[in-house]
Amino acid sequence: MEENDNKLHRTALSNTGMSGIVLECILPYVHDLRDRTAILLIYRRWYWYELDSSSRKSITIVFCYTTTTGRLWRRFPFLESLELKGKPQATMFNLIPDDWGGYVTPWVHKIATIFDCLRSLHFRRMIVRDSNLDIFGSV
Amino acid sequence: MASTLKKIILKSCDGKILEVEEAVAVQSQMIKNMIEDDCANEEIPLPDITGEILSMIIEYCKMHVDGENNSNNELIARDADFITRVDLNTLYYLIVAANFLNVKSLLDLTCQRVADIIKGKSPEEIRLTFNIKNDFTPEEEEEIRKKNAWAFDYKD
Repeated sequence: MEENDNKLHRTALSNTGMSGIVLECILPYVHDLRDRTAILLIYRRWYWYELDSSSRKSITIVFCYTTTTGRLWRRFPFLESLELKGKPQATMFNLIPDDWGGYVTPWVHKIATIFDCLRSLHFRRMIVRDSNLDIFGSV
Repeated sequence: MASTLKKIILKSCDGKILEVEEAVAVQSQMIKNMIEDDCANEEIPLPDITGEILSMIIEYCKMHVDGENNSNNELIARDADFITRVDLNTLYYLIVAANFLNVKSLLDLTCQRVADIIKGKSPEEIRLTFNIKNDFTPEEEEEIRKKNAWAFDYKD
C-alpha cells in the first residue's frame, strides 16, 4: 500500500511538476497580495483555501459592512496587519452626512481581544471615538 | 577534529550511494538530528530523492561549508550562480528534497526563485509557465474572483 502511494506521488510530481508539496513550500515566500490571489486561482484543491487562510498576514477590507470580525477571524486568524475602510470616497468632498455610519465600535472590541498577532491597524474614512481607543489601551 | 572527518552514507531512491563529510551532511537539519540521536551510523535511505538531485544538494551544502569564511556577498553570488543553472523541473525536485532534508538556506533559495518567477503573473500565465492544468470551470473561477474582489481585496 505504501509503495503504491509512493508511486502515485511520484507520477503526480512528474506529470504536473508543481505538486502540492512544492506549492505549500513556496507560499510563505509570496508576499504580494496580487500574486497570492493569482496563486489561489490556479488550483481547485481544497487546501489552498486552508493554506492561504493560515498564512496570510495582511488584509484590506474595502468596505467595512461587507463582513464581520467573526468571519474575518475564521478566515484569517493570524493577521498581522489590517486596513479597514468605511465611508465612500465622496466623504472627502463633503457629500456624505456625518452620521452616515462607518463606526469602528463594532470592530474594536473583537479586534483588540481575538487577533493575537495583529500589530498594525489602519482605519480609513471611519469614525473613531475616544472610548474605542481606551479599549486598545486597556488590552 | 576527528569528528569532522567522519563520513555519513546516503542512499538515493535509485540506489546511488554517496559518502559525505559530516560537516557537509549536517547542513541538513534532518541528518543533524539523526546524528545527534546516534542513528546515522548505517547508510541513510532517502526514498524520494534521486541520485542526481542528491548530488546537487550535496554540491550546494559543500559550497556553503567551504565558503563559511567568505563574505556574505560572495555567498549570495554563488547562490545566484547555483540557482540560475537549475531548470524548472529540477527546481521542483530540489524544493521537495530540501524540504524533506530540511536544508533551510537551500529551501529559501529555491522557493524564492519560484516566488520570483510567479511575481506579477496572472493565474493563466502561472499555469502556462508551470504547465499546470486548469481544474476550475469558468463559472467557478469567476465566482472565486468575485468573492475575493468584494471584501478581501488588495490595496487600491
